[in-house]
Amino acid sequence: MLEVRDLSIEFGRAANPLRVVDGVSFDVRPAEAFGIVGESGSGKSMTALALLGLLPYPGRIAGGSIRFEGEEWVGLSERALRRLRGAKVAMIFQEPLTALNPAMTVGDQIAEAAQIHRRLRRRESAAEAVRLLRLVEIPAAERRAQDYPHELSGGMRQRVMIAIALACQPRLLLADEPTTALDVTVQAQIMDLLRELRRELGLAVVLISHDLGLVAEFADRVAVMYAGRIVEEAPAGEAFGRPAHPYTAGLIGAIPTLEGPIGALRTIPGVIPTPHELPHGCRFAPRCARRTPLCENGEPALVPLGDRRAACLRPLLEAAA
Amino acid sequence: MTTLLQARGLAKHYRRRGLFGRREVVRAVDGLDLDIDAGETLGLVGESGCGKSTTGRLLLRLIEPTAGEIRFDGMTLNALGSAKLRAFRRNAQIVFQDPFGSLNPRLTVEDTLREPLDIHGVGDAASRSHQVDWLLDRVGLSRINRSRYPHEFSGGQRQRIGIARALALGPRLIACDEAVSALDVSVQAQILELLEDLRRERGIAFLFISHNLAVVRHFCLRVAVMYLGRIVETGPRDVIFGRPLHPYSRVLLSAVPRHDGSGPAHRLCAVGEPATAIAPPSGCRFAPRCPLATPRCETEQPALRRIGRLEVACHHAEHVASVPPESLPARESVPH
Repeated sequence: MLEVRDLSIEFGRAANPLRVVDGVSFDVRPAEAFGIVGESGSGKSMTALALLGLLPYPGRIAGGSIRFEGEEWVGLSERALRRLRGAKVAMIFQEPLTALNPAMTVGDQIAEAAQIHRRLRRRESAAEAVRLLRLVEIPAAERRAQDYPHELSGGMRQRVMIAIALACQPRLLLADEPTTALDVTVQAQIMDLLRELRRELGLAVVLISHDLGLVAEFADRVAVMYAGRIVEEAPAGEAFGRPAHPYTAGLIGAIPTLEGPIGALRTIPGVIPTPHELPHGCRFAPRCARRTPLCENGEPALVPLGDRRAACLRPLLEAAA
Repeated sequence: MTTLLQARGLAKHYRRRGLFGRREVVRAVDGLDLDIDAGETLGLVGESGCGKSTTGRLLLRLIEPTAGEIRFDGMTLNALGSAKLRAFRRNAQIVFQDPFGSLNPRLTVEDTLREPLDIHGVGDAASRSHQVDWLLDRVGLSRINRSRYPHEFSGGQRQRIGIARALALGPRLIACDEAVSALDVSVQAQILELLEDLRRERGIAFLFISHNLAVVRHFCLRVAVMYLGRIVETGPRDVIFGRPLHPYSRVLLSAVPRHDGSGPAHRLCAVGEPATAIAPPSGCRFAPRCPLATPRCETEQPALRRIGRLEVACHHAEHVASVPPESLPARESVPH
């Protein structure tokens, strides 16, 4: 359904560009839940914004292709993109309060999206707004449609965002840290809602998050990003149960858990390199315990390894492959 | 173990004018008892708005309590004169979440670390300079960073500067208010390792305030769970995480996503979202969201009482104790 090939994103002047995403490729199948995890600076949010042509100035797509249902999106005009955005792919963000219009009732905001993208008339769209509010399980939907965003709690606002995203009947929903601003009990409710919507509407979802647990429980497949590249892509259970890339393994070791023995956390020495000081060869090599001199020669490609792909010369699963 | 810090009946109410000038009282913290022993690590967990940060600021006397008493090392803090308060400040320090906002952007690292030494008149100029070097070494920052400014550092490095500043006066208690929450996990693990080393080496007690339950489980030996301005359950870490008795603790633990597939088969759900501290429910504050609430819960506020190794504020704790840890009793089975 979605085919991203060799996507690169640059900031800054063309003469001296800053490449924040470098040669990212992945597919999302219909009705699939695909997760992208990474720490800050990994390029995961930029990748999502690029898919919708929403890169903040002066960011630009420097190369690669984004095909949705066979149609190339890179290079389309803003007008053409605007028609596709929402209708095919919709997006929800971390902070619903900044994404919602404070001076408009939530019902009108949902109705507006339905009017623009589906050419519904006023009365139809108002009824559609109430139906969507019910779909995202907002109690007393008729009354809530008259509320302004500030009158709603954080969880309710995120439900409204989801309702707006669904108003255009998209095939794919991009969710960029959709629950990061929410409390954990509310987060559980929102993730349950997304799961249900996937089932009911056959919606494909790309979930972008720094929270491995959140992605592991939601996604069918995950891509792990590091310093602008995908280092590993695997079925969710595999990626976190038997990681192939040393970075994935390091990340898992560094996360405190609610189960199991309480030992010292494994730390990954050093920090993520910034785009201007990328190391030679594998970007993770300077922090990697398994590096060899070969790792500094060139960037390892993302190659198939059993049921997954990993970009590492010495993956942890060599024997299995 | 000696009690280092003791709070009794601590409360902080804010008065404010709400929409259309209505007078409102925000009961951020409302009747809280807490002890911290010398050298211990106490975790204070809860969701946003539960009053955990306000509690931290109250315990460090950064804000005045509306009611209640705080004793540090046997001395009542409420009555402290400014000289004694200054002595208290040497002993109790805080590290904040936002290493961007809590460091003065116009001060170099050296100035930042020297300031507390200067204010408290510790040693002479040469020994202070020495102390700055020692602090930098201790938190794992190179000495060449002395003359650099906060904006030149990454988030993790800035948090190291914040910790060095808290360490400068040799405190006996450090409060960490979401001190690792803004950091990426690989950096978070490094900072937790540093804090753990400091605790072991120097016997510093930590009040570790966090919404991240897994981090608290790794760092703290004792845990207190807060909900809307009150402590609902407290006890040793293995019991709080292994077999808590307050329905809220169970719901909270069950809501955390787990990457290792160890998540509960059935997630326990709380109804709706946390109420605000403006008009907290009159009975148990968790009652409106509690899957077990009975009419008694709505009228009678449960006090903390000891059950086994825990202290729990729930009328139905015994009943909760009768079912496995990752579940709650069926509502129908709860005695009214």
